[in-house]
Amino acid sequence: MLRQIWIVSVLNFKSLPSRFWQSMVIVVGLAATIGVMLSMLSVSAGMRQAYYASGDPNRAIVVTKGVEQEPQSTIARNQAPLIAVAPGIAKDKDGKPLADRTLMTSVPLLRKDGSKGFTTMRGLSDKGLGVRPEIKIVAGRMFQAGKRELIAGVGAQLMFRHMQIGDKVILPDGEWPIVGIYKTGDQLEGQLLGDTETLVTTLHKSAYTTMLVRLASPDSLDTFKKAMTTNPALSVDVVRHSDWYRRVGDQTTFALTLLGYVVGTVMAIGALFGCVNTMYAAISTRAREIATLRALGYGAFPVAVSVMLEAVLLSVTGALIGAGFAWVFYDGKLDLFGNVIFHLSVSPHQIELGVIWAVVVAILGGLLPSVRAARLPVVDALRAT
Amino acid sequence: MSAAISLRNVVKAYKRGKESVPVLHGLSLEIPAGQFVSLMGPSGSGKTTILNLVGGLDHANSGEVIVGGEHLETLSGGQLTKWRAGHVGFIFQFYNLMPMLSAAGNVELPLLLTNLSKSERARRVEIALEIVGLKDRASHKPGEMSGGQQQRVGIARAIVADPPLLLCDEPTGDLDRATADEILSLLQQLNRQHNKTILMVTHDPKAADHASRLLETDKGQLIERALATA
Amino acid sequence: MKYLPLVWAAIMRKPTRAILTLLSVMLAFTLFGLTIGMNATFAKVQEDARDDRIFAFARFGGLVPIALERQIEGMPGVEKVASSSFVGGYIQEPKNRVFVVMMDENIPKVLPEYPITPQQWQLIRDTRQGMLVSKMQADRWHLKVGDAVVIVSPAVKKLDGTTSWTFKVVAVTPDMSIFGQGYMFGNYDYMDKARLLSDQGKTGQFRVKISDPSKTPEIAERIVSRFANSSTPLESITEKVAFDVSAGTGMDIAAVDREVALAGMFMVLFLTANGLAQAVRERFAEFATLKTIGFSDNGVIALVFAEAALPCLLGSGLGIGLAAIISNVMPKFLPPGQGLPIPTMTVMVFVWAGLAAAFVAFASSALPALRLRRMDIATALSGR
Repeated sequence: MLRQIWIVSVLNFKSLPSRFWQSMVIVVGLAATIGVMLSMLSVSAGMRQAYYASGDPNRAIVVTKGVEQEPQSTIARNQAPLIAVAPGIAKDKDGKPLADRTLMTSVPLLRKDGSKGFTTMRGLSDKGLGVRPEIKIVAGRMFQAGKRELIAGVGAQLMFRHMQIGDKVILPDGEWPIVGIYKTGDQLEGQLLGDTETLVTTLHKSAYTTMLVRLASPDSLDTFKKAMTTNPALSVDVVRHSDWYRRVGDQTTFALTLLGYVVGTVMAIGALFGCVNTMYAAISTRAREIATLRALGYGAFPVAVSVMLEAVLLSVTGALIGAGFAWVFYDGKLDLFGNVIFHLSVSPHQIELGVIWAVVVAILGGLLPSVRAARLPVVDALRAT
Repeated sequence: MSAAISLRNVVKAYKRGKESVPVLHGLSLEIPAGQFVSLMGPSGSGKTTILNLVGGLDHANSGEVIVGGEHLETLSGGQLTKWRAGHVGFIFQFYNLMPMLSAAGNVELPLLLTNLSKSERARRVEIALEIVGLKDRASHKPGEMSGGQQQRVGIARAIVADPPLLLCDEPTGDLDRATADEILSLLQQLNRQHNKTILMVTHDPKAADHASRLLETDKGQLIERALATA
Repeated sequence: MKYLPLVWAAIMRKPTRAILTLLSVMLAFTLFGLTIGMNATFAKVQEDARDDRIFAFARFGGLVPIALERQIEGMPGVEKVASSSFVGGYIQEPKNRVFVVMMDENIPKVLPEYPITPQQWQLIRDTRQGMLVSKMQADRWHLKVGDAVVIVSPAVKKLDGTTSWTFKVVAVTPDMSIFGQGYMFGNYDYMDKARLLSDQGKTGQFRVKISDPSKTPEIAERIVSRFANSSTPLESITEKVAFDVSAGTGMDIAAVDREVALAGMFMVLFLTANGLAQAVRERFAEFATLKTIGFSDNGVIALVFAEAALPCLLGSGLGIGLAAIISNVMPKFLPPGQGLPIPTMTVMVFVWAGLAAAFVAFASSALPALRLRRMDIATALSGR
């Protein structure tokens, strides 16, 4: 049986060149479908990755109870010390808890193309670098506590104008100079960093936004969380930093991802009909050949399978071409959405997905034609002119 | 209405790649209006070529081709097409019907090129089908008919616009003896009762029984043959 | 047209093939409709955006004192100023996200084009906890006039420290294209008097109406410089810029939409061109016969073009229709709060689809037409 399938299939493929343009319909259909889908998904996938990378499983974020967006949270000044002394927090070499008081605000800036944009400015407190060791200064220097100066991320440099060392950023109490450039490898790079306490004064705030703590160990989360949620003086939520950014990333990219899949589905269905059409035509063209094989003694099942295999081969070829295009033209390219700058991503996982879709389309599309091929009336086909 | 046919010193050669294969070497032929001519001869001797030239399907290399007073050699491709529509009816060996149209639909085709109204077209189609004896099969498709019936549809289509000239290329080539005789009789009827000039290329030996003149081609030359019956 | 039966018969020669081709074309045009329709929505929103209005809000995030409203109104060229604030939260479960825009009494004067009658606006002034709910939102949450709704908003605390805000539905109003999934409007005073003392007297953003549209950008900048050194610096954007999607996100979504639509058309072009080429090849002798009957070159080419055009045009119409249905149904299935614009099938979308269909038909019939023009009838007839 397998041998028959193999022989019939090989014969099938040998005759492909004579059915070249016909077969190209399937290849082009799948190439277009998967190419477009992966290109669109590269945006949401890239953005999601930038968010995911921002969260560290060894950290926990403390926000106002019930709040889902970081900027909407407030932690009162007198609450901060209560949080910092809680169990489960890692200590630095001086035995001080690694708990960072964050203040977030929005700063309007001019994008590279001249349109008005904005980015987030975060305050880091004295333990800021300890909690976030991934912040590396690549040019200039770190800002000094108590001074009205800030550092800009490499992402912010790419997105906005006047982000060089020495340029000034307008804040409520005047201009703050950029004294350094930092990189972190995640979406924090699109922001500006300054000293929390100075920012609090500048913005006339009475509270911090959130707190970020380094956990003593990944398992200390429960201890820390219990202490926070059972404290009657506090009304906060504690979430592992990586979980937080996972959720934010998923929520932010949901619409774009959905769009990518909707587009992909519609095109795939279109390609599916094209596949059925083409395979029917292929059988039509090969009717005499198929009938001859049947007359010689080859079974109906091997014939059917060979048709299916042809559909799969063509579909997968198309999908790989489309994925290839998407990868060449999109993977790794920089893009920005709002104030998040990220790299488009066409990952092996997505290419795998594209190939699976192609196989599904081929199987669904090749089903009816392969049945028809198996049921071909041998005598009639042999006699046909 | 009849058409007289005149071929004067016609030369025609075909190109096969770089080679030029001559078929007609200065052939002349006069066919008065109303004649039913049967043209026979071995394959490649130029029978079909003569038919194509008379029908305006092809251009001669040199010489004159005059049909119904019209000098076809002076007409362009587009003009020939227009001329064909009203002046010639073709009948083919393999019928060349449109398989997806009914008999009536097939017969109507030449009339679509005219300005006749829908009802007028339908009337003429009915008449044509009546003449060939297929009125009750008007709505059948070619796939549902025998070879003889299909050829009748072909003939109906050829006469529906009432052209003075009918050109037939092996009309009975694909039919059995009895059916072939029926078709030949029908053609004879069209010639005698409706005064159509008919030029028929054929291998059919019985053609001589129905035509009014026999010609034979041999190496590009035409030879008159006497009819078996006067 | 008298040639229609001939063209139809040619298309239906292989009914399965014809139907499958039509379905494929239809789906490609569904995609076309969804993408170009989305661009049409963007264009309409841009067009509807007024050139005589400005948004003004806190430059560095947070709330602004409502007292600034009168100050801005006092600036030369400003006709009227109104303010609004968002209460974002959920109904019963966090996944049921809603947001209520709390309007002050000047909003109807500054936003007169909203499809809300003065009587309806008055309803939320008369009933403090009153809320105007648009049809889409009313359908989604099964609300009718008279219903009480509790919205939990963790970011907006009340005096007593709780975050549950009770509203009463006083009217169901028509939807607007700028609010893709519908809207809810409430009374600003209700929110302001009931919330934390430290947050009272503050609002989210100002809507500024300008008397002379040509001065709008200039006044927008003046508002920024006027309050630059105050305790609450303001940022402003004109409404035209605010409703420009690519300016807002930095991503040219309209271009992406066009590229996707093009990819779909390319796929269809390949399919129809192939199908037509094959059909003409199979029926070459038939076309030769037509020529012998007297159909001119152009006539035969026209028949072939019609054979391509019919499924293309029909498919485009059906496809856009399907896109319209999907666009109508989509918002009901999207989780609330997702800012995906709903594609609209405007006249222009149909026009573009028709042009695309015509182009595909032309391009598909180009090569077969050439073959037919060059056809040597004699050879074609004898080559059986």
